[in-house]
Amino acid sequence: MNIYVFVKHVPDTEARIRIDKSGKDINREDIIFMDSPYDEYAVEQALLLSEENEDVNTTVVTVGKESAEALLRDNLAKGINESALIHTDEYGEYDALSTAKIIAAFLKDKDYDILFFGNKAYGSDNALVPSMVAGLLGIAQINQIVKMDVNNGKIVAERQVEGMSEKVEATIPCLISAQKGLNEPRMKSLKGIMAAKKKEIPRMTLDDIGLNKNELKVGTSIEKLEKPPEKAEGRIVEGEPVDTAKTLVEYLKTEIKVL
Amino acid sequence: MSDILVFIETRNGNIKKASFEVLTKAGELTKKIGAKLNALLIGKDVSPLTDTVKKYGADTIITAQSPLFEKYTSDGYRKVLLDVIDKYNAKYILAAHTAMATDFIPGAAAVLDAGMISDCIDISLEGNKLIVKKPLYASKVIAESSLNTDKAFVTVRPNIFTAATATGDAKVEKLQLNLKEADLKSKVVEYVKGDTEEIDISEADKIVSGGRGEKGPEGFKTIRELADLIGAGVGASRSAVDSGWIEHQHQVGQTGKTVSPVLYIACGISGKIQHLAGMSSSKYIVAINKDPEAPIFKVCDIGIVGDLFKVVPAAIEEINKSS
Repeated sequence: MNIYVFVKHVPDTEARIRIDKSGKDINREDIIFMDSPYDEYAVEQALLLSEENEDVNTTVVTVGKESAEALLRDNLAKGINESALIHTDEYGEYDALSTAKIIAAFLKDKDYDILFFGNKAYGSDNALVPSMVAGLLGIAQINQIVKMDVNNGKIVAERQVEGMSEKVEATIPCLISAQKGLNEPRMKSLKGIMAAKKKEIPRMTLDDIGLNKNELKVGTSIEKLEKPPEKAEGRIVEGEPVDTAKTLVEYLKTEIKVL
Repeated sequence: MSDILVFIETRNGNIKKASFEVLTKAGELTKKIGAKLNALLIGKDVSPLTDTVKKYGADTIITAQSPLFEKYTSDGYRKVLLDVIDKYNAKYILAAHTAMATDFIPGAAAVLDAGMISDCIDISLEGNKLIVKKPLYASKVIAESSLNTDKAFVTVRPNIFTAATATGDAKVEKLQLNLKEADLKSKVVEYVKGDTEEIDISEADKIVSGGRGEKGPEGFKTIRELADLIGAGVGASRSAVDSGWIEHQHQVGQTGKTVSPVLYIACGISGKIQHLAGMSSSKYIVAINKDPEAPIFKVCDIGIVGDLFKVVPAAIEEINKSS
């Protein structure tokens, strides 16, 4: 079984986000990048499948700058067998559509059974790339899963939807995107880190995967970034619980009128 | 022609409220450019729902009915959407941002080589170009983006726009389906319900949410009591979920749900950036926390400094007394 996991390097959640001079992008100097949180569930599920089944090969892939190498090495250290770095020159250059097309082009000559993604990337929070890739490849997909089993060439997974779950059955090859709750991602081991250091990370350009950079359509572009409007300072109430509760209920009734 | 198509989502024979919000907003946009507004209903038997959709002012309601849609199917819905876009020459395709929309719509956009942006909080037209706003990086910035392709796809965050009825006498057209069971590579075999019939927080207009300050699963009993009393959904911070006090589907924030209710009551939630990312677009925020320095007080409309184990029960009593 051939498994590919797609991961993305994203700004650390705690990072201070500043708008750059162009007004269209964020200032990426001094920002620490990390693996997008949902990707860790995807990686863990690939590792679990490779431990539970025989003859499983796992490959971790990212579309990004040279610095995203660290992200691939971290996942090799966790036990993923192989990796690939699809090079782009700049951050923020590609939107969901063009990223999906890059991934689909990379997979064109590959033999794959399961493709794993995080259900969305932190920062952009679009949750578009997985479903776009499935659409372009014409394969089955199950998104936002919290549970999965592979049996007799079929995948049965539970995906979270509003107020309930859907139990979904799909044929292989299948694309899966992972939701929190699927598993408990492992830490990398020291032994794994040492082994990962020696591994070669193949790099490829868009040319290498048969895409012409100038012809690659980018569907959307950011025109302007703004700080969210500052909220007026709220009213702070202190005192005895009975009194503050009374003030609160009065507020809900008369000012917001929700009661 | 630059007609707009709105996907109307149904679950268990009911239309999602958020779909009407999108339909209302789409109606404003179509008026502005003199285009037609089409609404798409997919399901096993959606004909009884067309009268409800009519009240929100579409020009045409397209119904796609088949026994194959007994349960939701990603491949089937995508195929229908592509057929409808082709037949009705839709240029802008809008839907509420939900698990269903995120599942099948992006694939259709990709097949048509069209740009898409999801979870938008504003949407407008500049000439023929769709312009949307969307928070990025845990809501630390708001991006204004344009969709540059011939066709453009957008999902809209629930509870941002207000649904309003409109006059109009939509005609209903049945879509000829061109779909076989073998086309469905993935199939929903069962709907698995949660333990209780709770209000889902992504569409709730009121949410009572608990955090680390709840100190344990018992703390959420009072949260639920208050929520039930005012008809609200129950939310939680990441630390409450990670401690196993409440299931993940209640989590609000970066690795949970993004919500925009009219009222968000945060009890014992400090207000880390990861949590704010999921609720800062709420209309009114109430914070109850014993730490006067808690960051949640910086974003709230009204903040009660005090012990939630005393304030929340007192509030419940006060509401009971006055109603």
